[in-house]
Amino acid sequence: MPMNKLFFRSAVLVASLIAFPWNTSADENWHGFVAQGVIRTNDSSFVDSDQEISPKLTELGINGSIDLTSSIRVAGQAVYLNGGNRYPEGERLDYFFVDFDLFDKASLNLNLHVGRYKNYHWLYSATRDVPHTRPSIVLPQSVYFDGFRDIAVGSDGLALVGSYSNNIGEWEFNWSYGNSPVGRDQTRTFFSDLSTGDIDQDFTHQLSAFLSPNAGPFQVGISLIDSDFSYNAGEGDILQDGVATVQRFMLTAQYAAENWDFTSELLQERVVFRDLIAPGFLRDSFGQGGYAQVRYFLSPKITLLARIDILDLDKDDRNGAQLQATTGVPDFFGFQDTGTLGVTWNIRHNLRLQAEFHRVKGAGRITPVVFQDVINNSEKYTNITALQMTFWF
Amino acid sequence: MYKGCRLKARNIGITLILGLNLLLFSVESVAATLIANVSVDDSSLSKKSLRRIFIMRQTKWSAGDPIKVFVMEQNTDIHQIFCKSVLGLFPYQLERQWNKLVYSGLGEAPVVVGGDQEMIEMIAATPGAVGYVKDYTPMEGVKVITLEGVYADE
Repeated sequence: MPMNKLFFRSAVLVASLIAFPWNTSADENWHGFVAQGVIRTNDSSFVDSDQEISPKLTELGINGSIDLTSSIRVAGQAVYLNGGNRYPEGERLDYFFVDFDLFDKASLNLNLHVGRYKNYHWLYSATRDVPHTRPSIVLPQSVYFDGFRDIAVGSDGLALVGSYSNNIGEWEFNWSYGNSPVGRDQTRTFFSDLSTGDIDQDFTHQLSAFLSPNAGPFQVGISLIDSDFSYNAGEGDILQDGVATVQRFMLTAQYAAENWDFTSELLQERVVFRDLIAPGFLRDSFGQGGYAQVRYFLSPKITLLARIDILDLDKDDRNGAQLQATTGVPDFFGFQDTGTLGVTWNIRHNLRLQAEFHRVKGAGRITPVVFQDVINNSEKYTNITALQMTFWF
Repeated sequence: MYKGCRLKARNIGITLILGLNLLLFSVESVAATLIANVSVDDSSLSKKSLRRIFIMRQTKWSAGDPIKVFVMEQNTDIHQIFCKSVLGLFPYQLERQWNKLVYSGLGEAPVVVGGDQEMIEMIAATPGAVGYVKDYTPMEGVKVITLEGVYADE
């Protein structure tokens, strides 16, 4: 189903549910955010190809929830995003699900979400579009690849979300099964304008668990994804029918101190393409990477950030030499390593200004990923500079 | 002025979490009274339960009634002290958790109030409410909750 149709149908459903007189004392809550910034990329088509300062750094969102009974609620959020080439511009139904409170006791709670659920499996995945919840304007692309945003942010299906407290510590666990609609714009973002067919996500199965030992400052976690995709070639398509499998394994660590915190997520991602490029084509590779990030809380209003983010798309071809030899694509499309410095200024309790600079080596996370844009990404080393103001309520 | 059940952060777990500097600060200064609406059956809470309540993971009292959490503004001394010394969390950790709830559909953040008097009035007026104050003035409809494992003055 096209994304726009889905969005509007779902929005009507959200409005209907909230307008329906379930209970005159029902508890409704509304929140939102408005963020606008400017971003410039040098020698890269990460946002735009013209190298100019771009206003394509817009994120708007509104969400609401309503308690239908003491154990059933409905929650939904609509967003509008404009990130240039990072992901398709436009509105989206971010999440919209019925939340069943299955169990809620002193040491254990368990909820079932039915509908479009969020991806709660990575540290920032559930609120990756909400600027004031992120450590930086642009998240580390090894884990939070913007080109894959619409598929990774959530899916239509079922999710179980729970937490448990015992003598070992505080546990959090999540399970989900569903699929995401993939629009034409998303397909072009991923494969390039040369593709005219449709991608279907057959399923995505995810599992994650986090532990804070003794409910202390450490948190460690593990996350797994298994997902299959089908591609049906269109008329005059440069691609063939084919299938793809993505399997990701992630480890997470976080430490919170009074004046600083440390966060790291490491991943190994297997990507298998069958057919697609040509009948009988098979590519089976394991990418590896992750990031390490330190934030220092200089004052209640000012936070400094430093981060290293590394990704090799194929652990058996870390420098991209085989990629260049077999496809002619420059070797630096086989990896992307980024150093980031940033500062956040909380002007008021609901108003924030963020600024950051990224030094990027490689182009492994530049869209499109199958037919790379080698003309507008001719340099191995590039820069991203961004400034964004956010208001939320 | 009633000073019943003033909470002192003197347990080992908290000192391990917060370190020596905060330990000194805590022993010198920590004082917060945990209060709830009289509709709440529970008269005491473990630190583990209290933490789960304030990170909004436990949303119902033991009798099954919904919990409504009230907090002070993040930049106030009492909120800082309550978070660090009683919950064993830094305020920014709580803020991060609440933002995740609000902007990903998981739940709601606590209601923020402007001071002791407003907190007491809101707790009195809201069934299932829980919060904390620096100086507690008794009011009809409000009860004091003791924190298990934490020493009280009186």
